[in-house]
Amino acid sequence: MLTLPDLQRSITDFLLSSPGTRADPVLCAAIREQGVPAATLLAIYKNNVYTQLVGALRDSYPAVHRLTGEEFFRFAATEYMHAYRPRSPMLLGYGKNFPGFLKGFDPASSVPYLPDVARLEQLYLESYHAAEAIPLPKAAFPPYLSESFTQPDLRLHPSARLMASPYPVSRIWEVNVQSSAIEGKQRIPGGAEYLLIVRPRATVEVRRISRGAHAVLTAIARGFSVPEALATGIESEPEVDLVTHLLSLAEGETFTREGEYQ
Amino acid sequence: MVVRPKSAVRRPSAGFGPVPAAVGIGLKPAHYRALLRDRPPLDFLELHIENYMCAGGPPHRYLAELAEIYPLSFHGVGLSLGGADPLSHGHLARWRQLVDRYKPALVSEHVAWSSHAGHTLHDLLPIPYTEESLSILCAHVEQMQNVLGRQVLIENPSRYLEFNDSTMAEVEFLVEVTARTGCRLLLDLNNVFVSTCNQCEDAGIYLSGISGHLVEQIHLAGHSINSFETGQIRIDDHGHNVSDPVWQLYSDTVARIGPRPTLIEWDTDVPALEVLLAEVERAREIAAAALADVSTRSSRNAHAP
Repeated sequence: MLTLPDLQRSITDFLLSSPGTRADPVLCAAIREQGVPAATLLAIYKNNVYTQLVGALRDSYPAVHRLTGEEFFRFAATEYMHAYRPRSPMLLGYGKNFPGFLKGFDPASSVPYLPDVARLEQLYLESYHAAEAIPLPKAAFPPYLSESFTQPDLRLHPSARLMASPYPVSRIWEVNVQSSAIEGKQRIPGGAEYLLIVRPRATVEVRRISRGAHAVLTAIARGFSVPEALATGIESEPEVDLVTHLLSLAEGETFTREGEYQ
Repeated sequence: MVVRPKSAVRRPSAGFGPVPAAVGIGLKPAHYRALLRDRPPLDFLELHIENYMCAGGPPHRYLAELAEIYPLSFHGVGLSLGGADPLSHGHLARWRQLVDRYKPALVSEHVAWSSHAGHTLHDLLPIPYTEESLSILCAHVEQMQNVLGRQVLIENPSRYLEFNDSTMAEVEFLVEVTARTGCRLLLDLNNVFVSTCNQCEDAGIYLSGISGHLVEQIHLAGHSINSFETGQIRIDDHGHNVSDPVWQLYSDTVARIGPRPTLIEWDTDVPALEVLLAEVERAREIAAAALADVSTRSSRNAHAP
């Protein structure tokens, strides 16, 4: 007779094992057979676990799924499942290491932008589920531009995520999450992209921003004042009017103030 | 101490006649907007609480709005009450936070395990019905009730296998858990049908072992059949209409124990809201017919010479 911990350990090992692994004979002997063999009954549960986890990844990474196709996606998802065994009772965060996994996944190396598309989808999900905060009204932003204004309470909205990619990643993503399927290969214009992903209200927005604005927002996220952050941005992109960019980002409810988290 | 919820889900009686069953559906993101726009006549919404264990975002925005319109039922799939490992304090704390925030009318979890040694399997796995399992499950149910400060309902599982070591029948096991912990049952009739078919048992005999006062809620869902060379296994996939034999069990159960808050569950290949609303209407009609039949029979008996 197996104790409950031993039984559960044995079932866990089998359910998370590679496809084709045989169940432990001691475990099979613990199961009452009524026509259908114990190994087949255990395989039903194994298939349930696999279906749940692959389904969770597919829901989180629709563009990666579309780009790779069902068969390759399943293959990658199975390999991911063995590299990152699920450890949380919430499925929401199960795929958070998938972009990093894809980066080192040799069979996907022929699609060099795939990890960046996955990264964008991961940031989209983070933004979707992030805490709420009251966005800073546009009119309240200009004082923060002044060096004499010393209130250190400006923050990016808690749903804001920043991303830089050498590929036109947001355009690739857009094409692959649109419901009207575009068949066949197509040319995606553009090169490197700097992105702000933010959800000040109910909908996540993926905004393409300039390299300088990306540098400014990154500096603000790290706790620099707006004038300090602007200096970093101008170094990064001297030819652009970053103040106008920042005002337009403020209008787009990118910022909040400390203490206005809900 | 276990405190009962202040307001259980009950439909007001419309005119004379038996109190109809309160019927609700599982809440799915695909239906958020349609529910808020059309406000269909549902008696409650049930949600998988793990899907709302996030800081903010649209799920909570919609849920907060829907909670103004409908009573809520919180259904957990991740506590692993039947697991040999201790319950996760973090997970219980997240449960408590959401129960405090939304004050659901009903709260339920499963007679199953899903985690072991830090790994989570995201499936509801069966336990052997032994004294060892019983004492572990009871301790966990008590812990959950203590953390939440209220009675919880535990759901009978769907089972594809049975253990040789079991020393009691499932019904005996469930009834003993209610006696030891003061919890009540969420009777999933599709699970009863699936499990009894898979174990070559009789669903009617199974149900006759459960007194009506132990049942606080009913679940109805669809299932599928997997055929193997040497037999068939029914799979509780929540991806189809409720099957006719399960509707029959529902009618029999309502006739025997009276109406209970009833949920239409559909979690795989979620259909349009209209499909779920049609199942809700069917549940109401079947419950009303079962109750009318009981009341006709009892009045006929009362007038018998």
